[in-house]
Amino acid sequence: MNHILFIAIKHLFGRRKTIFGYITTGIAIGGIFIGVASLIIVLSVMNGFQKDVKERIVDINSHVVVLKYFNEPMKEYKDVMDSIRSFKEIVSMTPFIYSKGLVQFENYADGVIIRGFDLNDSSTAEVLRRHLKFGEVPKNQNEVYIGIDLAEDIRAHTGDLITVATPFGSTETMGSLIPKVSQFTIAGIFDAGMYQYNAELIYIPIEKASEILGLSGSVTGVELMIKDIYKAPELAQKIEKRLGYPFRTNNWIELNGSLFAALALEKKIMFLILLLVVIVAEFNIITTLIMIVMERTTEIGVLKTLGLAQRDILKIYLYQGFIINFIGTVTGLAAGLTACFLLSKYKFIDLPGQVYLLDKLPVDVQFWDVIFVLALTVVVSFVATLYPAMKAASMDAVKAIRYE
Amino acid sequence: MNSIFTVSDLNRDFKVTDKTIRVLNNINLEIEEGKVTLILGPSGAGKSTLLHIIGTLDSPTSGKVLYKGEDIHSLNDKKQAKWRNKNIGFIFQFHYLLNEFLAYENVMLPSLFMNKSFKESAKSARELLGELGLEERTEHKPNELSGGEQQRVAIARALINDPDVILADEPTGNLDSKNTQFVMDFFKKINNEKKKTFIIITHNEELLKYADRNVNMKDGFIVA
Repeated sequence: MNHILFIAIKHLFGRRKTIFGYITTGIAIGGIFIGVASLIIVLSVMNGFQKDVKERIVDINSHVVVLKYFNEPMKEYKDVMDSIRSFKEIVSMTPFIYSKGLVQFENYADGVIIRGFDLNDSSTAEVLRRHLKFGEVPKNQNEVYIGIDLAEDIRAHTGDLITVATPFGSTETMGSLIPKVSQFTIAGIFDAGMYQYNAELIYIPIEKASEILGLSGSVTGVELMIKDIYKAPELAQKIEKRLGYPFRTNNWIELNGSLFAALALEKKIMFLILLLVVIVAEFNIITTLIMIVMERTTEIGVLKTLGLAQRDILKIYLYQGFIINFIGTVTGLAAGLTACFLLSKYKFIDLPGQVYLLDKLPVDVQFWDVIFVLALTVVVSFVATLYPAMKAASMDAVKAIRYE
Repeated sequence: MNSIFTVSDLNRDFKVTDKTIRVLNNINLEIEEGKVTLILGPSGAGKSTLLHIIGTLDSPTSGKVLYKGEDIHSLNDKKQAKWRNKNIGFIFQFHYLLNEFLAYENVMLPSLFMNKSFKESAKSARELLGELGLEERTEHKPNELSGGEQQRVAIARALINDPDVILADEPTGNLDSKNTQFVMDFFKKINNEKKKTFIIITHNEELLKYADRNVNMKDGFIVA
């Protein structure tokens, strides 16, 4: 062991046998511990949130949609599908209908988003099955599939007969619009993991949806699932080019851009706020080190008489600061990672889904985030240690040992 | 005469608020190698300051201190530290041992600073403590030792690197007559055996019998 480190360790852990010495060192270590642990936990939760939200959006929605300008009904969807089938990136495609309507059951009613889906499309069936909570996936034109929060809102269960009303029925006399009303049996109830979907979506077989929306066989568009979801904007552009006017495309990244931007911003802000915790903790370390330096005035002088140069004294206190920071950082890191592990394994924190989109606290520890936190702590702690260490180094040996 | 230290035209001023006090006034002094030099004088005469400047713990306002012909105050901090470590053993009125370190650990510090190994340093520290009659005390902490023992540990620490010069500031100031005699006899012994140079500050005129030469100071001047 290096003799400078030897002295640093002895000085740090052998502080005068007062409880006070231990408490101040303990607080200094504790501050860093809290800062590092909370940085890691919070950043991981932010990552997890972003990842989960993304996954759910991508999961239940298609990656790219082909529409017509002004959302004109698309009658020629079969031709559209044929002409883009050659794109290798496409995993599956299916026509869909997207509209708004009203659902009513007994005395309860709620506004909904109607999604028309192809009963015979296997990939849609698979997505629907994955989120099935109660009952089963619709099998015929008179069955529907609704979100769990919607079911709760209208107090409906599987097997119940609900009424769906759409504003685009037939224009009757006197120019007033008579809503079209149809009845469906709830075949199944799903849980997509996101409140927004669970509370608003109702899946209706596409032919029936087209009929009740007065589309007479047309659909809203064609939706595509693709291999690499991050290539969605690129592919969307290619498709648009091939199809030309009056077709246009949209993709999941564009549609949810503001949400992801908000999440990214939130992460940055949380990072800065928690960095303040670390900085405040470093002030504790500065104080502790200054106290140690004050306690050690005589010793520092004596060490100089014994042949230590200013640089050596500087190193003694840099080492001490390093040791305090190291213990705080490593234990904070361990605690943070442990907490993240427990959170992701046991998912014991429930969130109110209406507020946070998700109902469990998600966690995603990202390697580079952890490295970044550690690197930053090292830099901040070094800066914090510098002042007390320089103070100690510049201490006048004579003042320390003069007693006349 | 072979001088180990040559002090020439040495002045040292201290600034106290807006006043400048001259603590050392035109000091010229030759310290002979291998001899015991005693510096006597009342408090405030500037004895300690002189000793500190000779030992590079303090710098002169003007003037020079030559050690074997070399101007030691022209060295940088690192070189001065190395020079102290190798050539000078300091002993003070208070033992100034480090409380967290065991007796032998205190003694071996200067040796470690010379980059000698822990093992080697610990061995010579224990031997030296044995020579000072402390073989039973090597693993004790300073606060478990008596005043006389503490000072002997401090002496061992000053001697571990086998320095040419021992600078002692009231080394017996806190000791009873028995311990005083032990310390001074020991100094005299290594002075005789190893031809070490001693510069000792004291109030105690009884120590004069150990001195080869005595220097009297008063108000920053050498008076005799």
